[in-house]
Amino acid sequence: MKRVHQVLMGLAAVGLLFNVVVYGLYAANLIQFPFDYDQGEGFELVDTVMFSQFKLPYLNTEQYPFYSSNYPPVYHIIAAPFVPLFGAQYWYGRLLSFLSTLVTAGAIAYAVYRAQPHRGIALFAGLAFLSSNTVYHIGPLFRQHIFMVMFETLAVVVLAYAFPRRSWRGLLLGAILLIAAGYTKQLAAITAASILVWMFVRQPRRAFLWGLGFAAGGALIFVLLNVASSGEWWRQAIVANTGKIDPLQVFDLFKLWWHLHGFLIILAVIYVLYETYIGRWSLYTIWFLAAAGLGGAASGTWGGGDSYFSTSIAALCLLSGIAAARFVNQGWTFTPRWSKPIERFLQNQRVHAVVLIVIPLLYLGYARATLKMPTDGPVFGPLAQILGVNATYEGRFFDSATYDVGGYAHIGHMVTPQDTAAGWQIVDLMRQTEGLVLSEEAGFVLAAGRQVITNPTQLKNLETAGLFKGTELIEMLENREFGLLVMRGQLYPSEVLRAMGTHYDWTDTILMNGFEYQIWYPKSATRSRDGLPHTQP
Amino acid sequence: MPDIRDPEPIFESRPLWRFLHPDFSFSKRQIGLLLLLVGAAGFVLLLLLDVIGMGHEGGYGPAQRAGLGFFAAVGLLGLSLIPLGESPA
Repeated sequence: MKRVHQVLMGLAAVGLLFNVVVYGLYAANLIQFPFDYDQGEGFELVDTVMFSQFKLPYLNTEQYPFYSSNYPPVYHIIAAPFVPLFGAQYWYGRLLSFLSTLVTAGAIAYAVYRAQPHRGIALFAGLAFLSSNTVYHIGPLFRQHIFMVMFETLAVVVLAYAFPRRSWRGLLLGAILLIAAGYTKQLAAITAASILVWMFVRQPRRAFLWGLGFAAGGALIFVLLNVASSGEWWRQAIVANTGKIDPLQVFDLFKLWWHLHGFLIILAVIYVLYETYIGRWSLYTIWFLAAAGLGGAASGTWGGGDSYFSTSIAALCLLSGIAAARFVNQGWTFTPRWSKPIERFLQNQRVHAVVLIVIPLLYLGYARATLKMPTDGPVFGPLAQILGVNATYEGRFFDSATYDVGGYAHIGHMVTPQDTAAGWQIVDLMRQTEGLVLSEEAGFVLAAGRQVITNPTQLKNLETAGLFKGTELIEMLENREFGLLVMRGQLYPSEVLRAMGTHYDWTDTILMNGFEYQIWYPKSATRSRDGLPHTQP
Repeated sequence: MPDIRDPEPIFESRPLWRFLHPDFSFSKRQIGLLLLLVGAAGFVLLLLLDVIGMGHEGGYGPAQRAGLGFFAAVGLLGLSLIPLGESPA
């Protein structure tokens, strides 16, 4: 039986490692791409450039250049030293994000091993995080979300041991990591709340005192940012970030979360039930429940999506890893008298033999459920045929998750030289344009050496929150002061889009990464498809 | 004759003081009661949302139904923990 277990463990390792290799190839491919792969990356690069110039990106969007960030600063500050060395480039931000996922996976593996020593399962838990479709999507992006997950995971792993042991050094480190998570992205508030709840259940008085210190540290930074930005931090990063939740999107994303991670969710739920009724709640359990419940609910907001599950996926990998290691090691402890029959059942040799088969099969099933891979090329083409997977994207990429779910990121495929050429084509159009240019993605504007004007999604956030007027921007559009507009998703507020539609004409479409980039010129000097300008009334 | 009084009798006799003791930890029964209370209060409040005029539209929307389900689950979880007594939560 031990032999069968070892073979199955080997197969599970191959499956998970294959997914991680594909993830590495995707990251290597994306790191070289000089434009936005995911809408919004360019604006995070703009924030990074501003921090490198010691400027805050929280600005009044009613005044030219109508730009503001809605994200906290930590990720951009960490990336900022690269700007003077290499200029405004995507690769270092993407590399930082990718490395942060490796750190998170390492922290998960460490936490599993420390809770229940089993090297193979600890390794599986870390690889399972990297194997997740959600982590795969956002891991190598110039986005701050996955960096937040790293800080959250590190804070949880540190505090899970520091709090019961009353280690003040550990508590201080945990607080710093948690504040860093919160000032990387606001969603870390869920992790902070789950930590406080767990501490409260364990020792209310110490939880109150630690919470007070933590809140004071966080509040001090908050006030400093708000004062330094003349109140724009509060308006742009807090008030404008409260959107309505679409229940259908939440339901669909929960279904997808289960569809992709179900094999591990089963293990995690067993562990939650064990701690609830037989053991005692660990921080990991409270974190998992809060991250899955609240993070999942928040995924239904505009601008949310499957990435909002990434914290719960970290917690899920950690919890399922501990459960799996306990099953394999027979490491469960059953103290209550009523639970002794369960203990005897699990100690039965036949039952344990089944466990030794089921656990690696769960990880193997998970590796298959989260499979994504290119389906063309000399290696992946034949491999896809052997594995029996058909492309789900443009005949060249397979993603086990469906693209039909609202809020699921339509990314993950490799970029091609044609995509890069298409990006430079847009940059050339900008360089040829006299006057200002307006783009829904900042990468083209930065490459063309033009000034980045406004951040469409932030204007939309402000409109949703009832804080957008846009008088000056709309006036500039009506006066046709922009020589060129580049649109991808019509992400601007409705009044801005109306002004664009009235005073500009859509003349060309350039395809990049599977998305249509619309080229719009002012009506007075619209260019036809042959590139020659013509005049309209 | 040495003084053999309980050094901290107040913590045993008064629940509030006990709660503030540095070594106090919630038991499964206490957490169960707390969750039952939260679940019941949340459930009733959500039911009354339309009665007290805070509901935007008539009837129960999907968010309200999800909320009712959530609070019912919290209450039931609390109820199931109460028989587990003084073992730490």
